[in-house]
Amino acid sequence: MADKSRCIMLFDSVHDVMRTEKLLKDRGMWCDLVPTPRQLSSECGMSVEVHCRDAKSAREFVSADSSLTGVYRIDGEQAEVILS
Amino acid sequence: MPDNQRSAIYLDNAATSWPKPDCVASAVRNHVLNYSANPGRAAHRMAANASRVVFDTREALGRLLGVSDSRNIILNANATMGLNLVIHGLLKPGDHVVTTSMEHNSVMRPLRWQTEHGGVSVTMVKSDRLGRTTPEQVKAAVTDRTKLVIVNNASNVIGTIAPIAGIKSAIGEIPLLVDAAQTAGVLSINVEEDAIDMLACTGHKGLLGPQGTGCIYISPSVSERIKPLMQGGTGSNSESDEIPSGMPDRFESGTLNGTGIAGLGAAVSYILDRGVDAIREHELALADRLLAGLGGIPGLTEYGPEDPRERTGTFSVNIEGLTPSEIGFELDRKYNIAVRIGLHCAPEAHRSIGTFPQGTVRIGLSALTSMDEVDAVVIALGEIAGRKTSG
Repeated sequence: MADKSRCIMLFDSVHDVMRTEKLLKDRGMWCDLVPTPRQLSSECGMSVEVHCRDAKSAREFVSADSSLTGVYRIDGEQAEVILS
Repeated sequence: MPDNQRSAIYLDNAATSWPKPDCVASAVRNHVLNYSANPGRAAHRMAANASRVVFDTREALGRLLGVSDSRNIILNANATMGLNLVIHGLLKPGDHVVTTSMEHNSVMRPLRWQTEHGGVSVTMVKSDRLGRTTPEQVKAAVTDRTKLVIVNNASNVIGTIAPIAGIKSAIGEIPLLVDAAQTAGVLSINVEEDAIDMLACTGHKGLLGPQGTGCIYISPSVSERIKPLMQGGTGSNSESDEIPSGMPDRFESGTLNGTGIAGLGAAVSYILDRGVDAIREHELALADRLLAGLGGIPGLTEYGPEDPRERTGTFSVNIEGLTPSEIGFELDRKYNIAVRIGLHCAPEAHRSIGTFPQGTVRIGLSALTSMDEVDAVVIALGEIAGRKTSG
């Protein structure tokens, strides 16, 4: 059975969302800008979704001083931090 | 647009540059027609595109100004807004500020407000008749209460360039706020190399963008000390009623001028493609021709430094026996040449160069001014001066 979980990079600032999208796309990594899942935040903004298999390398590309809150795995109603 | 405007020789670029590169109009049109959604507030694809153009513009400005992390560039409406943010957001009662007599009212008026209502004291270093201020003069005015030094990167009246890197070296750790309204896009600027703490730009002059756009670079060493003058929606941390502390959101409450920013981004890309150094060379060639032409007109005085390399493409003149308004009116109505007359929002600068209160006729060149346009204004001023001499 296919894994239905999604991996989401959550940031405090839209600037870092845009910067991360560019960074990942420049490196040829798939990503998408998506509404922040309600399991993570009441935030009205957007987040970066990546393939879960890429989550670790995506986290490494993002600079240490970014406003990344964490990388989360969303599975149904469950959300867990997999990288921070 | 009326036809007589289309054929105008426009030399009022120190106020607002015109024409703009074609790509600016295309970018504004494309934004309005295709993706003028709210940047940073939603994740639908149109809003994402609107957010991307804001990000791209910020990045382009970072490349132009020598800012490695473009988060530290705040997008706003003009240089005045950035200057006010720092002056009203950083200063506290008892603080002292050093500035120069070449400042625009966008600095002079908020400082006056602070001296009258904010308990701040100001020392204004007087520039010489050519608009020059030295790092030594600025340093000599610094006291142990000095919390800010503000310097106009180049005079909006006579174009004189201030030695901002030298001034920063002279004042050490005291934050330096540079007003780059007249220099961004026309002079090479690198805030990180020159250790400039804050640099305010406007989009509608040398950056060749639309009116109502601008930015200010604020270095991380001072950003937390500056109060955000406005608080509101940022698209981030919406669950909290506290303004986010991170850059750029801390200073960007409310929906940005997305359409203008799209135009500004296109303008900055044009400048980066053409190269600031190439634009500077173009303006220097125009300046050489203009200064040679003006020098041959009897009764005409030109006020700035003789060497065009010490100034931007902004020139102030007077003709003996005529007021600036008479000259400006004749240039407009008889020759279809647009210039600016008067005090150019900088009365102290005119006191320094000896042209207060009558002011001057100001000729402002741009990256898109042609040699023919320079020749036309020289011929026109020669005829106007000639009629005065013979009449």
